[in-house]
Amino acid sequence: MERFIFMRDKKALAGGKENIQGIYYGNEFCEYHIPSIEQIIDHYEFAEKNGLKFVLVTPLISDYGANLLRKTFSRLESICSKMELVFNDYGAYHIAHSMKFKSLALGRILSRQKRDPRLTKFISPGSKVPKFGVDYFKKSVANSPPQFLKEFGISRVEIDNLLHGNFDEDCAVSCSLYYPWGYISMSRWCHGGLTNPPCNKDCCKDSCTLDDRPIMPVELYHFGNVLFFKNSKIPFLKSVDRLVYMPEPII
Amino acid sequence: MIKIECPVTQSREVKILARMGADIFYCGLIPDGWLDKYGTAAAPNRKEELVSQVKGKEDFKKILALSHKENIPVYNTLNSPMYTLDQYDLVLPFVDELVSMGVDGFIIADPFLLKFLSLKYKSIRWMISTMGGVLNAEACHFYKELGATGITLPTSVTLEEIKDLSSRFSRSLDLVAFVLNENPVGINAYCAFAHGFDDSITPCRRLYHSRPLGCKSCSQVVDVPSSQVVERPAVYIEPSTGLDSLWDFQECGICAVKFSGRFFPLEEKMQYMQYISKARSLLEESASRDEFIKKYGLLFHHIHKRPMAIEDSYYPVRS
Repeated sequence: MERFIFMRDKKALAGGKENIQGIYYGNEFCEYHIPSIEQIIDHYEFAEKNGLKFVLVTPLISDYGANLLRKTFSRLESICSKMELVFNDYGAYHIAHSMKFKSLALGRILSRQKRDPRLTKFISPGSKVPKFGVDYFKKSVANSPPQFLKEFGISRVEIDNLLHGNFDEDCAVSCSLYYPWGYISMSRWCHGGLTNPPCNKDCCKDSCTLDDRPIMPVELYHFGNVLFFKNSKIPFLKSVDRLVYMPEPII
Repeated sequence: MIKIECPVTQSREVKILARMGADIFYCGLIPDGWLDKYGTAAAPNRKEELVSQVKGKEDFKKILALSHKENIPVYNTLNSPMYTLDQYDLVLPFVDELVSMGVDGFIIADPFLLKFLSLKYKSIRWMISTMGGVLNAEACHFYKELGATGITLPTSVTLEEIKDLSSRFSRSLDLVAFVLNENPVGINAYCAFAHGFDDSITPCRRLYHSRPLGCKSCSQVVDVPSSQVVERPAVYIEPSTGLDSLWDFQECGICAVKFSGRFFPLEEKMQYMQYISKARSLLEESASRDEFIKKYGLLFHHIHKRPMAIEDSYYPVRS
């Protein structure tokens, strides 16, 4: 089992790199937070120097982000074969797939899991949902027909650690399990960026918990433009060969 | 003239909605065996209520026949963002059957399924659903290369972005925009809340007790005075219309506007059709964009019994 850390900055590894095989760097949810080429190269070199694998994570994008990614990928051309790429937008996939990244992984946003914490009760034993329906709510795009993922050159799917459990059979490719922060929903509305440009990137200040227990069985967390849940219990899943630890939500 | 894409659920609705100005119909028929195997909450077309579904193949054939008599094409929604391997056993024969019945197209979101089916059925129209989450031109290229013939743009795309995408793709893809009954604040394609299990208010609209968090470390919950705990929904803003953008849509080449509402009874669908048709007629009555905006404002006031605010617009013009 590989263990990776998804970090905002290499300082997150200041305490030591034991038991870590690689780093995730980048952003899943906001194109205004795509790191600069200098930051990417800096963190890539840090990974290389420390014998760690490097995974570049790219977010959902508009044409603004697409233009930025095109320039970024172009500047990374000489080293992209040593990087894995996680894409969370099929537009980003369309830019990246002709390049020679070491591998392409379908990000959490596109893995299409159902993440609603209420599913812990909605599909609990004794519910009226048929067995195949219960299984469906635990699945992801990794359970698509295998030949399709292969045709698209996708070798990995990034998944959340669902509170109601993950389906662990018939996975066409290997999966990376993120913990403890699982995303539920997102929007393009925030207090900066799209609704009030230019973005000043202080969306971390716009964070709160949302509590509606017992209707929603756990507290939710609102950071910037994303709603998260938290699940620190790591299950054993044979389809998962990589754990991705997020010390904090990266938005 | 910009077209109107209208939901239909029963054959008896077709003639009335066609006379009211519908140019395209979309509906949802569920494959045989699906409900027994997966239940309603895992619906194959994103509508968990049975009332939203066409009641069987016979009525679906009637919908096709009556619509085609009015020269109106019919799309069946098959827009789950993901179909798993076991679901293909039901989906593929279902598509074969609907194509043989004469369906004109499908509204689809799963790119793998799209690629497979568009190669098999080259004369069928493949409209990408908002569940496809198309927010940029590269994604338009992506789906087009897989065989898409049209794209329904998510309501979270801005007016400026719509105009830009339209300038690049309106000749090669049918671009469609929602104008009523959608929530443009979240991105539907990427919302992973579950629906269809109970009748309670959807999670994005519920009121939550909210406490601010310290921004330094998200693992530290800061104790705050109870006076700072507020009740708020997960989604603050709920705009009510995209019809104020109709002039811009027509000018930039948007093919059709659409409203959500397969679950509405016929009478409500008629009200929405009347509203949209009236708004569309204002396009011909207006000599300029400003004139259209003014006339639409009066229509909005008449319908909603209050003046329109910028927050009401799905696609506000951003300065």
